[in-house]
Amino acid sequence: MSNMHRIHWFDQRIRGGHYPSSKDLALQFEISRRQAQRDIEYLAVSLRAPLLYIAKYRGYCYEDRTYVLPHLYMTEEEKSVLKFLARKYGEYSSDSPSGVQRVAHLLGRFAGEEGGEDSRRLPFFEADPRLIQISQQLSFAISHRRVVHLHYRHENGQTRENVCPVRLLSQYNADYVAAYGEHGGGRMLYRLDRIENLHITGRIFEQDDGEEVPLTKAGPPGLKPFTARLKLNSELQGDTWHGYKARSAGDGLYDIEFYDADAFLQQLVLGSWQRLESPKWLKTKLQNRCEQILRCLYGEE
Amino acid sequence: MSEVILELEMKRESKSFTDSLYAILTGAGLFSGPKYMLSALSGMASIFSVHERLLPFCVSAYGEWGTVHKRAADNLGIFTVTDAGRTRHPTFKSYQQDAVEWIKASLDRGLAAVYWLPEFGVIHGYDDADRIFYVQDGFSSESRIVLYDNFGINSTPFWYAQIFGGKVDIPVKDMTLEALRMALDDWETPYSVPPDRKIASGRMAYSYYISALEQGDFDAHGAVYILDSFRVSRNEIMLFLQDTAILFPGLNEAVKCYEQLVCNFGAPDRWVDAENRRRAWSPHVVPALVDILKEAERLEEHAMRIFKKISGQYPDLSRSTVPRWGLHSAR
Repeated sequence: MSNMHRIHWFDQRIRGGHYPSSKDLALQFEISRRQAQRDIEYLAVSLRAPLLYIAKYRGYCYEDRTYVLPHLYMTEEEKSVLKFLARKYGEYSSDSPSGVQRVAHLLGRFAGEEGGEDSRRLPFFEADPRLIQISQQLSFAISHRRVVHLHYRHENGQTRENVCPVRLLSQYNADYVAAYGEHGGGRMLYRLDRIENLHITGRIFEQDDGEEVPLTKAGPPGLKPFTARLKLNSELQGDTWHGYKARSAGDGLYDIEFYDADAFLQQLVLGSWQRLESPKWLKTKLQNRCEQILRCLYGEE
Repeated sequence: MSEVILELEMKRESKSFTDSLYAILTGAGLFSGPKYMLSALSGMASIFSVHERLLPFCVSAYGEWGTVHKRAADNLGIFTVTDAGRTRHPTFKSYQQDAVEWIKASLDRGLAAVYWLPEFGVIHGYDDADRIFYVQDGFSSESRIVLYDNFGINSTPFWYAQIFGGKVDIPVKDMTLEALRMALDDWETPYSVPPDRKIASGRMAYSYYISALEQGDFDAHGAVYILDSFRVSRNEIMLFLQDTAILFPGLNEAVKCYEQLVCNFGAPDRWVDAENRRRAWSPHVVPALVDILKEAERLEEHAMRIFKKISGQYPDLSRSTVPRWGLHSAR
């Protein structure tokens, strides 16, 4: 901002007890009184400085002497844009998640710094002012649990409905708000760019802490464990067998989950059990291992 | 419920895709000959890709696998189908289930499949009762087990599978000529995975390798792994040219280039710090290694000029005809 140096000077003059005025500011920087007055208004309104005009000295001081100018001179509008982008980056799934998340974090702290070495590969989002405005309003409604009246454009037409918004999220390059109907009904996702307009009512809804909004799981799918069905010597106390998750399959049989076949094989050799029902490949593997040990034992290798 | 296990053996001696392809094709009777011949005819031998910090993954980062591996099968006259993608995509599960079915169908026909583990391995069997695939990785005689539900899920963000079909006979001379042309294409392509310029290929790969050694900023394990792969592939090219020099006058000179190149590098463990049993460069060998790499680049440059001269003597319909789709932009 071009007036930053003037703001800084004015702040220093106040701290020095000089009670500066718009006239002093105009004279110092050779600007008009009107411009100087706008700078003072900016300091008071946007930077929330507790300015107090003292008629006796025909100048300003700080009502709260602990006030400190913020490091970043940013308007509320600029902050809301950064908040919007921070959320978008934070929810973006990419091949270099650490870089994107780092940027999301920085934006979230309003650091205002450039992205790191991945900046040239960061996705670009269109910061539509209308979307940002809707996002802001919905954020307010979510945080204050206010019912929102939505004028929404579906594929088949338009509807007006009262909803209880619970969360903003981004998926597949679009922004959504998760909400449920004011009078019940399942959770729905509403695209922000299809909201024609919205009105935040004065009604407050109760937060439903039960069912989560079903979302498509972001990121790669998890690995499913192998399952071995073992007949154990005795009933298991608890739901693990030597640290492996176990589920009863009836009749003394248990389904044991494992990821590392070699480690599990070791456990089978060391542990106590009656019968390995399945899987067949594990039985073959165990058999081969035992035969190999026997060959070594009898010097047949 | 059924079970199929094909008896074949995959051994890691060359690039992992070459090893997989060799095991599959020889097992199905679609190729008979030494591995070096397959490696060269498929174009895999001429591939040389290097990361600026010599990270080991670059040995397999030689471009769009679908394109490169289809090219490989095409020159051998073998029908192929590939599929790949990223496991984070919402549609992954659908493709996964589909891939499980067509791989099983291929195994039913007696043909194994290439699978990205990583690196490339061979799916050579399945068992519906346990819902698993048997996969060979080339390092162990014992097959790995992959659940149908875990097909494609690995330590990288992507999955890849490839199956093969029937074969048409292509004259050896035509296959050899195309192999020389593929080598030329690879030599002239500076970046294998654009727009990423951290991985160079062909001629440019040499400068990346040399630069990393000279600056001292490189992954020790990767440096050895890349050079091992490079040495093996150049040895394959040398043996291939020795066998095929009779087909094209002038190739003998290229044979000498590669023979000199292979001889300069010497025995496999010449550069490795064997005392500590670590696969890493001894610091004192780096200057000598840089000199040999520069000489190798010069020798290969000379060989490529010979390839170009030979290629120019024959029409190249696949590269001179403007296709409706492919390398050329829409008109």
